[in-house]
Amino acid sequence: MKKIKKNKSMLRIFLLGLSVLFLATLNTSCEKGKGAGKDKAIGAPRGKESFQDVVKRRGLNEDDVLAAVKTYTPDKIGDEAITFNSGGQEGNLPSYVVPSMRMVKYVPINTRQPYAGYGYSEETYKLMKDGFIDGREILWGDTHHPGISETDADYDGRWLVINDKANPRLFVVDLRDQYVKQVVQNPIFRSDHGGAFFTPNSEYVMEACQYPAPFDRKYYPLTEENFKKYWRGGLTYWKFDHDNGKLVLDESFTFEFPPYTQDLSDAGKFASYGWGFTNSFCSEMYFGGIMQGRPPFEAGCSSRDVDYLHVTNWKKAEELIKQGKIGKKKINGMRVITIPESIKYGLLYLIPEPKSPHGVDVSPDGKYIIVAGKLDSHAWVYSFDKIQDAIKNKKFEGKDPYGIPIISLDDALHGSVEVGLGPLHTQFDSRDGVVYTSIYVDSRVTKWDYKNLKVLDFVPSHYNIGHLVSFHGDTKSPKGKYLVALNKLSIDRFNPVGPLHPQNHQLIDIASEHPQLIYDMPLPMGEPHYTVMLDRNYYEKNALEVYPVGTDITTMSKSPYATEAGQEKVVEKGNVVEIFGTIQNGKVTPADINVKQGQTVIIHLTNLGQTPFDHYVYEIVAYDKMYPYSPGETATLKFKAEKSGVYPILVDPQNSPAKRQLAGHLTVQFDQDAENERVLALTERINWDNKMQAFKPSSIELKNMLPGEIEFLNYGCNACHKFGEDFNGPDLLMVHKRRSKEWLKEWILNPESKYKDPDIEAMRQKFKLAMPNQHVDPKDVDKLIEYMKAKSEQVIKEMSSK
Amino acid sequence: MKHFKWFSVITGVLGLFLFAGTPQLRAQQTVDDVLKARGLTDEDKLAAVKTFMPRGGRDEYFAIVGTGNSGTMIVYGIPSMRIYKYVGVFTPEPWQGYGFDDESSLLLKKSNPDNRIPTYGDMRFPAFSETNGKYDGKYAFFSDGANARIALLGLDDFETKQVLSNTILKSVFPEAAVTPNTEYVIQSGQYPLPWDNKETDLSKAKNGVTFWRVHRIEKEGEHKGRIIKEESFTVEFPAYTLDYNDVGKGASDGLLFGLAFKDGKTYIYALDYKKAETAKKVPTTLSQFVPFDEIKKANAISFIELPAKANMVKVSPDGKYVIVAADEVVVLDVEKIKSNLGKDVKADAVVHKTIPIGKNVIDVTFDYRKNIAYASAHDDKKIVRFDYVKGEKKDEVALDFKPSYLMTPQGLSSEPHSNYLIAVDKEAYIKNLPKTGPVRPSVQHLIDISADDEMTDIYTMTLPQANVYGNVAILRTTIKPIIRYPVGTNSRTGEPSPFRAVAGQEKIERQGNRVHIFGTLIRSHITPEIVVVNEGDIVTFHLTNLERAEDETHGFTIDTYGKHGSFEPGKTASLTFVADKPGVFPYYCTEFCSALHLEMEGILLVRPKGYKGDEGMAVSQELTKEQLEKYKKDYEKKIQVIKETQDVINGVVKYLKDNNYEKYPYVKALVEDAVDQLNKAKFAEENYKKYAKEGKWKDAFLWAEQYWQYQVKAADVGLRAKKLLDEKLGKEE
Repeated sequence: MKKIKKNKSMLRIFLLGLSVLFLATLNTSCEKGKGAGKDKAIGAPRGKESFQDVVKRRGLNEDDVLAAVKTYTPDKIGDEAITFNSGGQEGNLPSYVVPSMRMVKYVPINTRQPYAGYGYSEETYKLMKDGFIDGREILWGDTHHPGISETDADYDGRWLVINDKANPRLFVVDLRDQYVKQVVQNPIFRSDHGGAFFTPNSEYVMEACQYPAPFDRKYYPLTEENFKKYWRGGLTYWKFDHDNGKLVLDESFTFEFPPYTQDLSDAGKFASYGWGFTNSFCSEMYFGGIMQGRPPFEAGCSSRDVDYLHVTNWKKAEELIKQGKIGKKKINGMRVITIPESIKYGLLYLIPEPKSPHGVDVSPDGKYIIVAGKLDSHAWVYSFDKIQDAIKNKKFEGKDPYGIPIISLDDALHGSVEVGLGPLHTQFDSRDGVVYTSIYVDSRVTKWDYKNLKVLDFVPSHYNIGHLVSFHGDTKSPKGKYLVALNKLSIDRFNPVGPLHPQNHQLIDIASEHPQLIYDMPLPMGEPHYTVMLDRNYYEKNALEVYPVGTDITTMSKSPYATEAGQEKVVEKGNVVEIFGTIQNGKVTPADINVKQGQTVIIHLTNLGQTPFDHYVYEIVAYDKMYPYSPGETATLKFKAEKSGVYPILVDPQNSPAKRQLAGHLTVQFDQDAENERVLALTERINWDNKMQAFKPSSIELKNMLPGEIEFLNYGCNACHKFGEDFNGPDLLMVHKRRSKEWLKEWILNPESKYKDPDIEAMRQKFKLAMPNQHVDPKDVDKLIEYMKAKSEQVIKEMSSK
Repeated sequence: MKHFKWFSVITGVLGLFLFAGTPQLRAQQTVDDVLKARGLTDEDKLAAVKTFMPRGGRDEYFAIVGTGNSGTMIVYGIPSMRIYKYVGVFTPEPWQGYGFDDESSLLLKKSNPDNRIPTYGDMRFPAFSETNGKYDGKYAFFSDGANARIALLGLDDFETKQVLSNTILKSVFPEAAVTPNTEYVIQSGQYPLPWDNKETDLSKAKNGVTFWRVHRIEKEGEHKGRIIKEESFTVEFPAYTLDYNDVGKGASDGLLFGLAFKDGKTYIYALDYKKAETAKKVPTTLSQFVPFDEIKKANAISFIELPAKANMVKVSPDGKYVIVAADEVVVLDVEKIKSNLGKDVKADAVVHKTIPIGKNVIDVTFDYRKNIAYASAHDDKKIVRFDYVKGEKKDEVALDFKPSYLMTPQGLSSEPHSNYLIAVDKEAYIKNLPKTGPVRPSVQHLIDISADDEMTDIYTMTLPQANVYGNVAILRTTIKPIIRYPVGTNSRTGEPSPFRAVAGQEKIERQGNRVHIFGTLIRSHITPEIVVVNEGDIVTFHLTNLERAEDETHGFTIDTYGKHGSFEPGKTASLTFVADKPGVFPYYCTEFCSALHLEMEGILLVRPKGYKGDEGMAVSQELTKEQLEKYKKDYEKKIQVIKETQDVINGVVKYLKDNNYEKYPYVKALVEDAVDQLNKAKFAEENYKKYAKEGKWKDAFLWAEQYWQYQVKAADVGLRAKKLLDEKLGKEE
């Protein structure tokens, strides 16, 4: 470390790079305004065109034509690969195919998705519920890093696991049907980032913490002392049951880490098998507090020249746990290997790494680990052999404040290469020693040789490139050929669609010596952080197009509610009406459902169809109930028939152009008690909203409302009252004449005070409902009374004109 | 560590090599090699160059498509068929914070009679706003067939601005149609039902068509028009099942034509909605309707009985003909319909031509060619081009799929364009597409119709998370989206948010258990960074994104609290939750906003009920003499770096000025942003100077570090401005 400080600091290098950039001549990629010809020409009739006509009209050059034929994929041929991307704050797993770069799927992960039915059936909602931390309904997530299960350090195409950074959870996706099968919570983290990464035989899935917090999830006052004492980072090795695609909490363990804000991870393979590598970016243990006069996080978290690479030995840890030597402590059900245990048994080492690092990537043979730090212009290549030598010889430069041994940079580094400003993530080529690193600030990809430590070439990417993915790029045998640059946002590149831009994924042909950008693809929803690219031959042999009849898709076994044709029935038991039905050729049996208001309705349907075209959407109009049944699937809808009336039941054959076929009706017979219960529950929901903030539409809408109308709606008065007729409550027509203003005010603000008045009691008998306290803000009462007056006058006027 | 020194010395050389020009290595493969290797023909090559979009190229059209039960709008480009955006309309969508921040949650809740956020919608046939029968690029509309709602979207920022509930019709057809000057958005009922919820007798069922009145206020970049429910009304219909409708224009202005079904018979209704407008209306609590008797009395409606079941009805661009899609396309003459208005007649009385097309014709559409229309014969797998005035077929294209819904760009306006036709493939089964499990993407094809005597299928587009039906497309130059909001804008109303905060005036307000946080977002910090509340408090984060650079969107969430907001430059939004669990909850920016994005974080501390312990908020530990000395050295080093960085910034500023950056709006915006960043740095500068004077070297060092962060961000933006400027200059050559 001392040597680095003697030399020019990395900041200086960073700055030198900056100045070079400024001096450079005009030679970044020229984006000609081509593709659509001149504005005035677009939309005009064209007539028949030859190849040359089209090339001329669209202003294509030779490279464009080549890129076009490299990516154009008509139906008669197929794409070669599929990518799985984290959707970021959109919360799903978007995927597109390569090389045509067509979006093909958003596998739902954290977020309800009506198209795939995720979260709409009892079965799929139960799956989501497994991820409700502290019991709180969480209907979104921030998916970050998908990982594909591995056998012998190569993708086996069977399972995919992805993490949620905002709510520390992991999701297991079955790649046969590309649907979630398991959701687990990390019981001791508050956020995670470095996951999911599989070990070479899918023994474990790595999930590293991001923002540190107390493991016991308790409150501690925020002081520098407490931060060091109670706040913790960590790395969980989740045991993975590959046969069943299940993460097993009982056999998993977490390394306790100092609160260094851990980031990405990767598992060692071959030479480094049994080890794991995890970055960190705030080894300063700094926390901000702008309003308390402390400089912000970003200043304190980047004030040291280096952060720490955490090196963990999971294989040895596993052994020691089996022997009962470590990991006896469990917090919230999670086995924890404490820092002293790690130190005692040599399970955890720290190595300086370039500051604010992001990617940590293990070479295909496992001998090298490449780290790039966004605030340093170098990528650093660590030698696993050297690390092992240092460990063996106990050669450490010191200890961190928690006593963890630190291996010096000199003793661990194979070398470093200046790759550009803001290097971020590295992916491997099929060529030996060749890697690609994304360069965030320079917006480019640098191709370099990590063994011989030299830059080979570069290709400008569009803008603010984040991660990279190459074809099987993190396995033992990268396939080369394709590389995708994940650019953040897409300034001035596509047709503009408002302030929120799509991302830009650029396909780069790396088969030829000089990488060629061949396609710009807008990623239309969410913000992928990380992508894996899978050869279609690796998973398609298992792919499902239909399920066996009666399958619960969340368990992939026969549903106890599966119903055969002719066995359909309705069972009414107490307040519950349970339907066991089928869908066959778009016909649902039973078609009609008759219940009483307030009853609970449970509908189990089995889609008997067995062709890929037997997709049917079952829908109860205006009841917000819907489920798209895949061929063979059994799924359950459950709801309380809280509103009376008749509601169409539709069955929509998704693979035919027929528009929403009427199958039958849900008929809910009116029941006064149930209606009262509904109204009270409704007013309670309205009251909660008013605690939040009153709804205020735009001024053009307000202008057309009567004075006080928005308050009348916001306090939910319309749930019970109409003008000109009784409803759930009495008619309000001319109420301002029947009652004094003072009386009305008191009644609205404090209805309980008048419950004993004989006339109120009489109304209560009539409507079987007492006026609830709507917690009206005293400053709004006059507005409500004003509205009653204005509305009454309006209605009277309309009535008299009739 | 030799290599560090070595590299710092040769950085300049390396940099010059990298930036003085990419070695223009020609790719070794030729186009013919690639065609052969991939099994492509010359026809494929032609299709490839017709659809491939070179870097930075713009598509000719924006298209939007109804996604059925997905409830989310898809925006894509023609001819590249790349999807640009998903926009939450009837279904919550967290990327945009739609249904997750307070503003949009209330928008969705208050449009629902149950005061809940409905979990989905069913939207199939969208519409664009029109002026004089032409698309004007201001708004898009959707009708929700699931929960009877109507939505207005602004094409200035591609956000959902308004969602209203139909308080009369519970079952509506998932189509929105607009009148030629967007006076009304029309939403038809679908299945007849009793209008009273206490009534369950289906013999009391009826139906209707709702005319949503639109008021428009617009200037460049501000589309503040909205539906005004007080001026909207529903026309009562007898118990017909209603379906697709199209609005008359030109010769048929003022009429609405729609499909209706009853007792196994198919009808086209023609409704004079201008008469309905002036007819007597019956008020309901939240709306009003025109009784069917009044419509009959005014001779404002005809039911035309068709000889066979039909799938679609469209009005010709000049408004003179109504084309009905059935096995035989039936062309109705508007003049004849008008002269029979008020009478129920058989189709024979008003028919112009009947043209046999093929089996199961699903849809028709028009292009610029005079009297030409296209029809999809679903079961025959073909699309037919025909002259609807002469009643003759022109040509047809045989396809590998069953075409259903059709769209030509601007095909529903009075100015249809040509060259392209979109055809939906509902089966959506592409044999060679990598498998995606039982749930597949939707599929539609791009057909090249530019030649007068042939049509060619040139692209197969997949649309994930969508159940695709109707498309509409508009010339790209008609839409002029904004790139940022005025600071402090509530994007749903397009007006200043009462909860906006400005830099330096962030605050935390507490009244009992109600806590309001008025905060700001700027790369790379959230102010405030530390918030302490008590268990049970109702907490709202009102956040304003102060950025001006168009790509500086920030997101915000608090770990495990289930809320998320997206804050595009200038936007203010609020997130309310009950702090019902004590503990430590990190919060952070969810959008990768800068190199220090991961450091854009903060901590919410929730004290347990009755907590009596030490407040101890952010107490710093005492420093030893050695530590202080080290911080002093760090500080001095940092000051040197700050000086060097300033030289670099001065260099870039000179470069930009020398090249007249002001002429290029994108570049100018970036430069303004860079200057903004530097202005923000002044506060940090004052601080480091102050603390250095006081000998508080740790604080001095950290604030100097913060100052440098601002410098680097300014330089980073400057660099990007330079890159863009170079591109622009390249264009000018």
